[in-house]
Amino acid sequence: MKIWRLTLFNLKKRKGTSVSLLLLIFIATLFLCIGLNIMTGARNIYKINHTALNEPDNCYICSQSMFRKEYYEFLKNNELTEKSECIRVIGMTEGEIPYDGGTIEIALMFQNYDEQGKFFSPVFTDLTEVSAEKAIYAPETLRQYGFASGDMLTIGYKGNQYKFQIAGFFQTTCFGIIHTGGLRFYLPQENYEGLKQEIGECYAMLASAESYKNSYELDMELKDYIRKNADSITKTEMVIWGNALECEGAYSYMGIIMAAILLGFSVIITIICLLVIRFRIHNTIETSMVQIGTLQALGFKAGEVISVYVLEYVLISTVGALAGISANYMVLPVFGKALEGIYGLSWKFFGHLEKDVCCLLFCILLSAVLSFFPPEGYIVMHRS
Amino acid sequence: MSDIILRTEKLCKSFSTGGNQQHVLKNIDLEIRKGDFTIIMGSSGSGKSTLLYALSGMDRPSLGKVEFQKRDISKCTNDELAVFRRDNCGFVFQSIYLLDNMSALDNVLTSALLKRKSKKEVLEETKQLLKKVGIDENSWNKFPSQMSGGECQRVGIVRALINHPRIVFADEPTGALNSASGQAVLNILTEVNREGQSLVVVTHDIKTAMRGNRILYIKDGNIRGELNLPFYEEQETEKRRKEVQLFLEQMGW
Repeated sequence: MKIWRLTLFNLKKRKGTSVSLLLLIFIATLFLCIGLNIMTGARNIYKINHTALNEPDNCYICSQSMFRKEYYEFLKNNELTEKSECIRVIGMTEGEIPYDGGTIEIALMFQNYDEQGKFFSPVFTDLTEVSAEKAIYAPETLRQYGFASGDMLTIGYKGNQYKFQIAGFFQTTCFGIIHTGGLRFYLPQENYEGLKQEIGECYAMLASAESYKNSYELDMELKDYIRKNADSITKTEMVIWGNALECEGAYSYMGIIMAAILLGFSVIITIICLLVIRFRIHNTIETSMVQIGTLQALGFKAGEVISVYVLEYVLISTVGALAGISANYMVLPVFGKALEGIYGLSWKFFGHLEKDVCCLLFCILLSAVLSFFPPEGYIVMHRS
Repeated sequence: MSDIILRTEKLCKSFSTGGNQQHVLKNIDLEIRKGDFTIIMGSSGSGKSTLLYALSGMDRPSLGKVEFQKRDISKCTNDELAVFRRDNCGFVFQSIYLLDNMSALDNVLTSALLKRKSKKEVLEETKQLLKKVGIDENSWNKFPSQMSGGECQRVGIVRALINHPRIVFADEPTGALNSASGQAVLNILTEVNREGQSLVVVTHDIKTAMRGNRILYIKDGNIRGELNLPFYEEQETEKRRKEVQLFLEQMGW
């Protein structure tokens, strides 16, 4: 009680510098928490949406000339495969999507909106009435390129321009962002048939494995099989392909970069805090030698006097860290919205009490250790 | 004869300065009696303050023994000495040393709450004592920077007395004060001594020395002389002054 009392008096005396240190710790903790949450969320966002949207772990778009039934049989019968399907889609190896800032050059895949298979349970949003012959449903990621429902979307392919009007958006983990190497669209039956007449259809081999690691192995095995069994005139290159492990990496990439930047700032600010604490302790002890001597004369033990100063910094760190952790919950949705725009997926933040407690304990321990490890003043105190 | 509360046996204290040993106290044998107003006098550098700190447990002797109520405190650890000071001693310093981030009341409470847990219990007593030494209610919440030297020293005395110490040690308690403030402080010390408080005061001021009933003169690290007087009475100041002056002259002061 007596130590608390003295600590509070010291904090009142050094209000200004205490507040500035508290702010630094608040910012460091805030960045640390946000960075950690985004780091862990960056992978979870993919997993959660991938399961909810019933999307395949492995997807291979093969032209008619390339496709062999044996490839699909291999995929279907592989021990790593849990579920599989072969559907017809339209594929463009080198599609072009012009937008205000430039042109996206990427492989494109078009599915029939009116056909439902084993995979894909898309959720369409922002649905708008457009003319049936122009309607197209675009992945959410196109919003970040300035597209909105009702906008015209021109797709270029082999010198031809195909004009559509966006009737709505959907979230997807399967070719939903440009980092995966492809983008997927839905066309209503009529439009699909029209485009099919012009370009032709491809085969899409879809499969799910037990885990992402298995999906990667399955991918390797299928490609290996195709390489060994394709005849010399058959192309072995697919329009687009992907497995969940690599897609997760592509989706997580931006989030991890964002998290790394925030964590980097957090580390820098934390180092500054540590230096400030160390300097202030040293300074405080030097200027408080009279006070320390008086307290010892009154009957305070050396350990009790040291505790007063250590507690001062522990209190500042605790309050700063708690404020940072709390603010993190308020600020995170802002980052979540930004990530939603980048990923084109819903980003729900789940509080992590263990992580928050660890952050708090880390801050407290660091300031306690740093303020306890004796500056010269403490040594003089002990000797006297 | 009063009880002896503090006793030294061949007390020595040395300091090393630049490789040389400086022997400040040399084989001091001394007894402090309960209820006495003991004055330790001597010229500058004679070892008065060193002796005071050795007696009070603020410093450890190099050789010899300091016994407080038959307990040898010279063998205590730093923490044990801290507890000893807390439980038995009060201190009044020349530079006062009030904690500058606390009011007068809180300064006293800081000392009081070392021994007692309940603020409610000590608050009333603190206020009474502050009133007794002439610190009125308006000054209780003042900070040391807002009070005069005399007021601060009076608060320092209350801080020293609040835990009912067995003995109060004062190092030049009027040294930093003007004449009027110094007189007020001496009056307080005299009054508490009359009520039974044991005091050991270091001074080089004859006015302070006159308040004591026992004057020890220290020279070259040892007690050279002792003067025993009746307890101070204001009406006998002049007679007392002459006695003390004569003693000091004999000691070569």
